[in-house]
Amino acid sequence: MARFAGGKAPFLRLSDEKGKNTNTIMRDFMIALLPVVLFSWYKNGIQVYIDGNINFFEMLYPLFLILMGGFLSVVMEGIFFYITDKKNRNLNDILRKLSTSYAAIPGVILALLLPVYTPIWVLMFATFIATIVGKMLFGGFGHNIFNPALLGYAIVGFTLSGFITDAGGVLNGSEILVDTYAGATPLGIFAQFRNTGEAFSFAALVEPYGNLWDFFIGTIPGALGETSALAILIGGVWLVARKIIKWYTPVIYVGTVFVISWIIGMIAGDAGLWFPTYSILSGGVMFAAVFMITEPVTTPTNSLGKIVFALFLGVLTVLFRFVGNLPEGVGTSLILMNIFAIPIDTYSGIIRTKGFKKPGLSFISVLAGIFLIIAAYTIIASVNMYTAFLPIINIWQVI
Amino acid sequence: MKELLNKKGLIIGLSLILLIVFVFGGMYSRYMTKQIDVHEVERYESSLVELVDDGESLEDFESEGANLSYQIPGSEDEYSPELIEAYTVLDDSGDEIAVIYVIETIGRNEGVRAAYAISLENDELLGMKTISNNETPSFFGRLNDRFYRQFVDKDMDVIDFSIDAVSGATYSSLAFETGMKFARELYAEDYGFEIINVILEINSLEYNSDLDTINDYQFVAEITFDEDNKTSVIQLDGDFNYIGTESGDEVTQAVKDALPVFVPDANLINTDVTINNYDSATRKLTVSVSGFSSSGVTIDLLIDESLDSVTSIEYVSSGESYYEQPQGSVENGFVDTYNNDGSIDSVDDYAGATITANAMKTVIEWIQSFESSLNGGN
Repeated sequence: MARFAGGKAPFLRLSDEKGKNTNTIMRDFMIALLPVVLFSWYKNGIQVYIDGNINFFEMLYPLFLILMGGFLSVVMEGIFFYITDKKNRNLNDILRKLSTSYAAIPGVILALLLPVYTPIWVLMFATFIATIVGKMLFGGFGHNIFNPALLGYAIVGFTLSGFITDAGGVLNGSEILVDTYAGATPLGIFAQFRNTGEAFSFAALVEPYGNLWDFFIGTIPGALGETSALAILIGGVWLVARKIIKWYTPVIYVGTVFVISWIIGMIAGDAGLWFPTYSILSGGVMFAAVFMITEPVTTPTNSLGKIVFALFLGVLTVLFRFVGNLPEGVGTSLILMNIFAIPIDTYSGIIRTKGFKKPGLSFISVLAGIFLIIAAYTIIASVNMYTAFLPIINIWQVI
Repeated sequence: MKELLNKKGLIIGLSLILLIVFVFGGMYSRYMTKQIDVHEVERYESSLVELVDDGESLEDFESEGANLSYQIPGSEDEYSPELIEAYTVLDDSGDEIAVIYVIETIGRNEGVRAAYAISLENDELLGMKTISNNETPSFFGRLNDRFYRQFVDKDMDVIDFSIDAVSGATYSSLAFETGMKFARELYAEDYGFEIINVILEINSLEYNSDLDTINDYQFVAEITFDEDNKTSVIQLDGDFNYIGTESGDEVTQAVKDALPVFVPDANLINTDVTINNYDSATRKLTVSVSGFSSSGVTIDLLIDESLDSVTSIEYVSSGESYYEQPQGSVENGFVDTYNNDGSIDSVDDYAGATITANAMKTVIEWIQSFESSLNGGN
């Protein structure tokens, strides 16, 4: 007879590898982040230093920022534990709690989502939002609704992004010298096209940054950890191999973004694969796919739930890229989907145990309907799609 | 104190860590931001030093300035270029070897800012570098390497201190030329450099119609020069170089040097026709006129025995080519009409060969003018 676990995620199956526990999961997670951290440091620090555009002290800053994200997160959780638990205020108690709280991970992920010139005080504020507001106030590890790192990133994005720009912004010391970048990330350029209603083209969106290979390797402007699809994939392969994440969650998410973007590209008159490829390789799609939508606490735990979650997230990511105020749609869509993680998990769990019967069937029908509506709206919301529709609308009016 | 540390030591320690991160991390962040400006200045100064071979470093320089006005391109109004900053360039032993003036001028729009480097050793303009501009990018982009090379190792001790403008970016070209001239004026003020100054006026210019001397000089000009208003009638070759004096005061060397610049600027007559050769044995005068091609069209004039009229003209050669018509057909059409009618009034315009047709009209008008002046016009 099948057994089901209750309570909050993350869950560990007894049948899994012997000796594996939450500690090993988090350790593997940190190992998976290592290629991303190292590439980020190389691209924004070491390479720029080799280019002769910064000095040694400046070269260390990207690494310092990332490590400081994790460190601050730990310190803030320690303070929180001290303040909220009057009976266990000695160092050993706090260290014991910290060891099972995995405080460093949201801090490191948060830092990887931020631009290289993020001031430390902004990072501190973001870490506070992520760790204290996003995680500890909800009850700590395993109880939070929102991805803590993402919450910190989103709050900073909406409130303090001007300070980051003033401090130097997203372009590193070498990128600032490249005229074709025009001071913007690929999605920043995309947003300009979106706002003006001009049709996008390979020459306008990709060529200023080289080619799609550069997007894959990660030698393009962007937040510290999001540019290198290669480094992210290495981390992703490690997590899949270690059975920390399910392979299909990132694949379905990235695949959905790819397909929706492809449809938009085709209807806009450009059927090339470059646009969907550009869509998945720019911004935070790949990073979110491997490190955020696989996060065990704030996403569904069962297979069906993960699939539904990834599908909706993919559509919303594209939608928010076309209609949102921010160039990137990943953060907004993921926060939104975090809210629905529990109901999706609940109903998909029912479907798994009882099959497609009421209320599961009605639930899945409603979900499918919502999915189709959002997908259709996403496509229509793209300016280029609307432009492509104009001749049809005109013909309709003539008839 | 000890009790406090025992009770609150942990929270004080954790808070101190946050405070330290806030203070020192904040200082690190500020340092990073400040470095952006530092690097920008370094790159800027480095780009200026690169204008000067053997240049190692820059030093601020206080220029005397110059109060001069230049014409705004495309306008009758004048303006004064703005000296933004000036530097001296030092070599590796700390000696001043050049001066750099960063000057803002007006092209199509205001704000054409460029650096002009001048050698202190040989008074040459070493190079120019654009700093910023507000010009129309599509036009400004036409300024190519060939244009910029004109500013490299350019002798400033000349009358004709100018550059060739780029077609389609004339105003932007003028902005740099003005900046270059203003830099020379500043250099003259700061370092006592003497700019060649010639008082010269071209009163008249005409082709030489004396067949005995036509191979020696092509033009005759009457000029007034120097502060004493001296006058002379002088002989010039096809490039307006001084050949000799026919009458009047002796011409100074400075005036002779200035003639190739001043004569074309005076724009008194059409000088498109070049006299190539006169053969007195056959009484054949060979002339050419520039057209679409650089080699243009070459025509022979057959002079009659009494040397006072043109008997006929012959088409010799042409570098012209035009749309859907055999080479030489346009030129021959004009020549035949002229020989038959004595004029080209009956010639229609040649569609697709406008420039060649205009060249032929120019040379035939010149022939008519030349014929009337032959043998003193008798």
